[in-house]
Amino acid sequence: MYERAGNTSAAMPMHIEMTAERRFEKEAMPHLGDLTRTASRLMGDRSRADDVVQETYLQAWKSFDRFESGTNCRAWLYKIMFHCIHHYRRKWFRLAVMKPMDDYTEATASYTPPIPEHLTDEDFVAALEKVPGDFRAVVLLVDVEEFPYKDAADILGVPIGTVMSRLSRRRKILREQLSGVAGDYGYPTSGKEASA
Amino acid sequence: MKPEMLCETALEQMDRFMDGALSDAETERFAAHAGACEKCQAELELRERTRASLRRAIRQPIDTTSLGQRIHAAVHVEASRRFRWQPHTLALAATLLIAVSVGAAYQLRQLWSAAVDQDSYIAKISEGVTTIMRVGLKDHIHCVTFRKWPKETPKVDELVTAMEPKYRPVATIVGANMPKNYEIVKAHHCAYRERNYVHIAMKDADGKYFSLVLARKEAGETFASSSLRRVLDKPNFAVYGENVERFQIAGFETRDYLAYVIGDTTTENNTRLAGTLAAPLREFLDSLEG
Repeated sequence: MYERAGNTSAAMPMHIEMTAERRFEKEAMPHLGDLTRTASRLMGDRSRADDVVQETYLQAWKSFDRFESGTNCRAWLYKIMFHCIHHYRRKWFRLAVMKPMDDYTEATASYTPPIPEHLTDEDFVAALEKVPGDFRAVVLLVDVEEFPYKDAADILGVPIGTVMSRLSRRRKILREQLSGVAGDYGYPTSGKEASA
Repeated sequence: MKPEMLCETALEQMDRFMDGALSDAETERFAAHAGACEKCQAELELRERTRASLRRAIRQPIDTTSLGQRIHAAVHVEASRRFRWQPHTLALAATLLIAVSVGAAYQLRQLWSAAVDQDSYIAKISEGVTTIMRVGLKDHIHCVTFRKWPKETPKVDELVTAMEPKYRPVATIVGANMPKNYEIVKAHHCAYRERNYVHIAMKDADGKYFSLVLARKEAGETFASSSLRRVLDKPNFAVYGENVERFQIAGFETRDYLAYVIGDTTTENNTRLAGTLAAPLREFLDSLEG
């Protein structure tokens, strides 16, 4: 049986309330770096990202009595953060407009142009930043932060199929952008789109 | 040998294979195809390498020290606010309120009792001295005997700020003429029973308290007509003395003022202090009277 934080923080003396703070510190604060990094990539601005992350933690603290200790705190925090981001940039991250899996096969059933191995980190960051924010979120959640589809779908509030569709197409676009970078460096980019 | 799965199907399933989202059967078929198809194998390696590179590039260490501090502060404030308004805090506040009320009532009762006790005591002690000596004695008992003294005595410069400027030299005169092992512990204006006083309180090295009390004369008040004992004869004026219980009183007058030196001490000590203070004080009071 999970111990609910609210059982102590809602009706106990101050020293118990301090314990809730310490539990929050222990469970939530280790994910600060991950959340900040993701928010920075989505917001494109560290200052705004910090504001969103701070608001995320404040909201998380306010609802910490509803968090079940021992469950996935990181995913819970990410879900709150994306809610905050939606609130902050409702138009930019309007994930509800995501298309379902209709073009999934068309988008992914092809080979990728060659990508050299020695591209820099900056090349990858630049390529990711060219991906529109709402699509970028899926890539960040699954490829960078390694959330399973189910958690990513829950965080974003969309069906799993939408996550899969969006992820595969964005990965493909990302690879093609990296291939384009390779072309800029003089590496060969021929032989692309060779369907089986 | 031609693999069972078509490359198109393998490409379609490749991302889900990478993400571990295929069923066991699908995973087995995909793995069989990728193992036999160089092109799909190369594509799988490229996608995995790209994803790993992207992850490495994005997951760089990020400094969150300042942000962490902001969050700690915000959460702590929120936690304090929440604590403040929770039901148990209201109950605690109610309990405290009752306790404080009871305590306040007790304190008021004590104060009232103390006031009654003080008045009774002063009245009782005063019966033991002449009327003119009671003027100064009452203020000494009211202001010294029934006072709780602070642990740290403010400096005289700070004390005299509570006095009318024209009376501040009194503290200076006392400070300059009292024995070296005395200290001024109070310099202020006070009142008892609708009579106003200028009061300088001193303490000696043994913790004994002394007062210099000045009061404006009221109609008919003088030492001259009393049968009091003259303890000191000064040029142009006399110092009179009386004692009751542990209180030693020495008094003199000017045209407009009654001046008292009162101590919880021996007659000798009190008279000595009065002897050193009387002449300069008389001179000062005379100057006030013009």
